[in-house]
Amino acid sequence: MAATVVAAENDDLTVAVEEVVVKENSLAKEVVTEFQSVLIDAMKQGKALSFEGRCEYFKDAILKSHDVLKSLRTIVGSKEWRSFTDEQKTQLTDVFTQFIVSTYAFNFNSFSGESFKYVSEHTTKKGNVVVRSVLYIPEGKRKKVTFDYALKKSSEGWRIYNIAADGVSDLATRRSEYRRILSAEDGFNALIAIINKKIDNYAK
Amino acid sequence: MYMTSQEKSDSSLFTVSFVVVTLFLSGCASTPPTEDGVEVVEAVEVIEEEVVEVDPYEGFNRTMFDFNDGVDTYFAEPISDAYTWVTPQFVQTGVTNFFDNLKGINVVLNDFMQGKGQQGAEDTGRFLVNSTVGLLGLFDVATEIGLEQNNEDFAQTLAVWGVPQGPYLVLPLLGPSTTRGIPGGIFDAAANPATYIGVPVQVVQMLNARANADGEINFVEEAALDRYVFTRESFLQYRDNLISDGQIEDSDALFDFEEEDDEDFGDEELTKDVLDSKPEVSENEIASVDENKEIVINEDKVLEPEPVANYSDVSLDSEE
Repeated sequence: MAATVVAAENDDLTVAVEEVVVKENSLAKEVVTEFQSVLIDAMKQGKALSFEGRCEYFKDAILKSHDVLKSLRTIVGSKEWRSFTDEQKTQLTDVFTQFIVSTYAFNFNSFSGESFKYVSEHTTKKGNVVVRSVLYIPEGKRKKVTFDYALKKSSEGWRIYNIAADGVSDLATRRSEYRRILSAEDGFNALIAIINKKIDNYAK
Repeated sequence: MYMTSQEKSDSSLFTVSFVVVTLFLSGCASTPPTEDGVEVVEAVEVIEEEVVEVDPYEGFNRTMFDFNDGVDTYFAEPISDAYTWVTPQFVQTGVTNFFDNLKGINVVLNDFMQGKGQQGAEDTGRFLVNSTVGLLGLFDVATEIGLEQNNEDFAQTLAVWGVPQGPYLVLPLLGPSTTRGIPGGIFDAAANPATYIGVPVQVVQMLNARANADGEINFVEEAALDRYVFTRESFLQYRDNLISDGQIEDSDALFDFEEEDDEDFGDEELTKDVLDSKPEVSENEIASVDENKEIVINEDKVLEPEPVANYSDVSLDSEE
């Protein structure tokens, strides 16, 4: 690792770098644990909040902790993305954000003892951070699910870029889906229509 | 205590990871890390070529997928719902535990075949405890004493031995698999005592597996834009994760997209306009970043403090 290499040259700097890394990681971890506490809170409030109420609640939390636009551009692909008009970009970003928000609002709606537990974190070669945590579900068929939060640093601090549940990467799965739909004729409008339909189903 | 089926589907995320489920049985297939190296560029055509490599029989697979879907809708799901309805939760849990315990023999065999000695010993202990104290496996006592269930099967063992994944396959009634998953599934069935007990037992096993998968199936139904693609991608990734035992050190792949280094989307100004209701970053978060110089560490041993990123100078409302 880079820090080790540098050790030979400058011990002090190494220490400083390690401190920074540790600090950066803890900042990344904070973003994740804060978001998770919002999820648990919303579940505890449960049906007291309406679906729309939960949407509002989650929208704030997601925009504060996720880099939705970066994720979306990865899903769509930069070439495809650049081919969109500004209106299309805005429209897709709006619809996509609403879809993510609705998915959370629909699924995180009741509490039966679930809890998140932080497990570990990992700094990638490129300096990104993965925060691993486990969701315990005492009443569930599946008692625990490992969530890996992949964070990149933006100008506003650490932001969640990708999430994997038991090794299934959200971005990778969506990429395949979205690109398949976009590759068809009139793919853009088809994509918008399909996502809107999903949102409507959640809101029912 | 028992939830109605409506409530159950509402809380589906909690019975779910984005894990895909075979229609009747838990999976019997696998994948290695994509050995095809995936030279992703960015054009859709390239994506399609990749898909062809992983899924050359897509036409057949889609037909089977629809067939399984029909069987599930008209047979498996109604029967499974009835089973869930008439069977108290503690019985369902007992049934699940019983079959999981029998599978434990398989887990132990595959532990050792993969050279996981210690895990093999633990899983042996788990099997012995649950078969005795746990009354033939009806109660999962082992988990309580810290011997958690591991997920190993012969398809994973084949992957560890270097057998390539082969194409993705959707098998009639059995669901997602790969060519490597077929010998895997046959071996696992042969090594599982449940296979020999008799047809009624197997029917209960299938019913129970379908009932347990209910939340996942609903989740896919609700979340997927293209259920076939969603199922394939999640299944293959889930299997990869089982093979590598989900080490966090392997998680670099979560960033592994070509856009990683491509910030040129030509629309940075759009960012803030679109997300206009973006809330402000909390004060203390800014303050704590404030004093640090941003240092880029990368594999090229370059270690130069970047131009100081002083976050207090950055307006949060706009990047312009």
